[in-house]
Amino acid sequence: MEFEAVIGLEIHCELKTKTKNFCSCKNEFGFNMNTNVCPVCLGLPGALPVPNKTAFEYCIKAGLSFGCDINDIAIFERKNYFYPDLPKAYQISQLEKPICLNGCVEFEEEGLEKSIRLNRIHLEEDAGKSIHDNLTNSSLIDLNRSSVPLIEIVTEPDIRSSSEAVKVLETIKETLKYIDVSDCKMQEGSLRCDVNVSIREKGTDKLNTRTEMKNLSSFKAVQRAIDFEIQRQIEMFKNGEKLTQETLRWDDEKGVNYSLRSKEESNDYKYFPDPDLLPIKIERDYVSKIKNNLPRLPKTRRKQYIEEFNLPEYDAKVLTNDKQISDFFEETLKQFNNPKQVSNLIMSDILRLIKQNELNLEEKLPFSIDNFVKLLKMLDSKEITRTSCTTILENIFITNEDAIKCAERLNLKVNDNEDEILQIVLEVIKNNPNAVQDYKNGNERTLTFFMGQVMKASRGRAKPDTVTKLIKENLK
Amino acid sequence: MNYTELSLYEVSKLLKERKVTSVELTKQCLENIKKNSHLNAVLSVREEEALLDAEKADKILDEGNGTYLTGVPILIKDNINMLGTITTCASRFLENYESVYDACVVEKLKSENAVIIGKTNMDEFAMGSSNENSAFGTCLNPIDNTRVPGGSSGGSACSVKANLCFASLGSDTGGSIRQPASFCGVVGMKPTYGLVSRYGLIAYASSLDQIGPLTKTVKDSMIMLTSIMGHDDREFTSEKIEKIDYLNNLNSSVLGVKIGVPTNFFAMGMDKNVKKAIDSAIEFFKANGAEIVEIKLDKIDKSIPTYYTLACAEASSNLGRFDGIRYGKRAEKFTDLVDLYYKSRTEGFGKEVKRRIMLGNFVLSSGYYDAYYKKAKKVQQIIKNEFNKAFSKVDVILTPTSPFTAFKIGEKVNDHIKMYLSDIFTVPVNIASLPAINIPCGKDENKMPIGMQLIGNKFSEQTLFNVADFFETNKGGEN
Repeated sequence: MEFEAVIGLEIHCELKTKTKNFCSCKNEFGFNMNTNVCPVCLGLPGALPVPNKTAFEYCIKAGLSFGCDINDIAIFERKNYFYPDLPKAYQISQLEKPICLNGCVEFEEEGLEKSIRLNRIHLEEDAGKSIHDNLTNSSLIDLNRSSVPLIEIVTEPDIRSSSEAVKVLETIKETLKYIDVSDCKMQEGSLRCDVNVSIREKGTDKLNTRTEMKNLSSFKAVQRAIDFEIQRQIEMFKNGEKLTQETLRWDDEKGVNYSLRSKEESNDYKYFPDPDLLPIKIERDYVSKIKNNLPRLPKTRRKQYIEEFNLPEYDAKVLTNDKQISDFFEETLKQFNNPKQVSNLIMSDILRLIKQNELNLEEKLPFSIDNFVKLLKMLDSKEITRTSCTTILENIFITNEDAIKCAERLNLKVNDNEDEILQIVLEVIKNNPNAVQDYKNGNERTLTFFMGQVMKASRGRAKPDTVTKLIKENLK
Repeated sequence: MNYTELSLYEVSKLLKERKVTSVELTKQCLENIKKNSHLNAVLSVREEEALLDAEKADKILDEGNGTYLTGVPILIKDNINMLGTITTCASRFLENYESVYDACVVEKLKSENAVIIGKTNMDEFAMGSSNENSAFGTCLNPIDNTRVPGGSSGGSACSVKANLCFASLGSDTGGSIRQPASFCGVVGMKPTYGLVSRYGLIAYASSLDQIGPLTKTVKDSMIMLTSIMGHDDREFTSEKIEKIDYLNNLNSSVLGVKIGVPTNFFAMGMDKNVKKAIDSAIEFFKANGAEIVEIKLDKIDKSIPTYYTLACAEASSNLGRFDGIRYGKRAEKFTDLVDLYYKSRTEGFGKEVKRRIMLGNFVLSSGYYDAYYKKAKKVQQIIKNEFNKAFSKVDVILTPTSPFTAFKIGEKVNDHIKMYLSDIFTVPVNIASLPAINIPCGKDENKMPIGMQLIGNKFSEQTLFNVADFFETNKGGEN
């Protein structure tokens, strides 16, 4: 019998709003424990929540990016359960009327266009953190994270393999970073993922008993955990064992999962609309406004780069990996409409310089588009050589010194003075009699050697066309 | 001279004229609290702090500044947070809980330099109609000490009647301001939901709770409500309403006012003395130019089950935070986390609170949610519609506040259903988010006060004050 896996994901992303979801505490990382708190996020008696408009907007932005329907009315509900890091004993979440419904995640895998349906995206608040101290056998609670805004993205069980699951996650991460609503740092916990896995006979569409896995802290862990669980379930099936619906915890170090709780032990969360937070009407005008201001997504950009700009698929991919680079590319094109040349310089030089200088792409590049255009124009009109172009870039990338001034300062403008170049050519010919003989014997490749020597002697400034012409004339 | 028998309005005038000082008034009120400690109306007193506040108020008054409330001693219900005070909600769970911030209403009173002298007794977490559910003992009715003061704001009503303060704040979820006001013979105002900020009020049922004043007179009620009302950014259910100066806008008259009398509602039964007092009030209004309109409020009898379903559901969630982890009661001995929760809550909460938490958990649990909680929300809408229909015909609706006068301590403690049913006239008002006021309108043969309730449409507090003030001034509750 051949099996197939049926996988669904629940992805939690912390939103990068300035303040928390229901109070005005800062939404930032790195405070001393329990110092970034107030009566509201501490859940003190009498304190009341007020929704964060920006978090609401970010959730709609995410929804629109995945083609979700935006509900007319959104309702915050209370998910009631006891846990020491949940100070109100309920989490403000959404159940019946989430902000976003439906939608899909589209991606490409092995040349195939794939689409995974979304069930919903809703807005909720994070809990605090429990820290278990084995030395003193005690638990400490840090409520700095309490009430930080989260969106939960829930997929339909459309995923069939661990690699597809990772693709879905990558696409979601890329999209959320593009629309600038989340940092999606899995290590820091701003992106978290739970997976639901079941198996069935290939070709059937039955949904069998599933397990839920938690504590997946990297894409790699997601992949390994799913593969492990699929294999475990297949083996259980083969051995005639019955799978129970349960929550599992993935141990990435040991590469195994173990049971956290079974369905029978699971909570009845007693959801009900939060009486402190009235239903929120979402006006269509408001949604349109957000939609109109949404940046073009990587998928759209890639398509345009390949079809309109005739760039290779690889280049299109590299250029769209980061929104700032892609925006930089597109803005440059507005002033210098030669996609191939712009792309070449970004791919070969600019990306390297970003890496070398360890620049953070979340921040604006120091190098301006205007300056880049000046450089491109000099290269295009052959006022500088390609080699000089790189030298200039290296000099001005961080300081943003004017490209033209830098070319002059470093004396890198192309020399087209035939007399001067001729002097160098004659000198090179004189110093390399053996090569001259080779050339005369019909070895055309010697020409490249002479070119190199002349360029070196001119420190890269001699105009290549002129050099070639003069070498040929004088070797006759 | 003893000033404590004066009304807030009267004493405020004397303060302004500097015929009495705030320190003097505060001392007299503190003295009354001590002398009447047997009433058990006050749970904690801010003696030194209050006197300092009074000195400050006197300075402001000396300079010719201040408002009606500047320098006036006031008590607040012990479910309202005030920085530095112990806020117990009359529960063992919060016996030592010190507030770390001021409720919005406290900020407002402080901004007028009112002198908050302490916190009043109540039913635990505002759950009850007799004050017998206080973990710190029953508060007594000041008129007859063998009787209850009503609840849950029993301490607030008792304090005003016994001249322990000039006004107090209570909270009203199903009648908790109006019913004790009725039992103690004072004025109790439950404003429209959203008019007064709940920020800092320890929630019982968030969608029904509302803070309001208990006072000696209707004019005092106007002064207090003007002070504490208005929009608060910290509460999402707070209405965007500007300050209203009710006293300044007072038009004390009933001429042409359409007063609705819900006959089917009355048929649900009330004490004969109450009936007589209400009939007499109706006659009075008619004789003074009001138009009496007989109305019907269908489904109003479903208010009680609807109320207990919704209120308990919300309470079960609101009281989840009292888990023994961060503040309040923590059991001394426990074996693990669940045992810590279990024991702390078992030891910390009283019987009525546990009963309502269990009821709330039941109506919200999966499989029962639709049959109870959801259905109750639907009935709530029906009741709201009934009131809307009525207010298309009338300006105010008149009912008794309670079907009977203050009962004996212990008389109803074991009959919960009977106790719940006694809220029949007050509960529909909260379900429909409406404002209502209790004013004394007579006494029974035991000299216990009878209260009349005037219900208004949303944000018609001024109309209620106009009618109530006319009644109080021209008829009064003493006959």
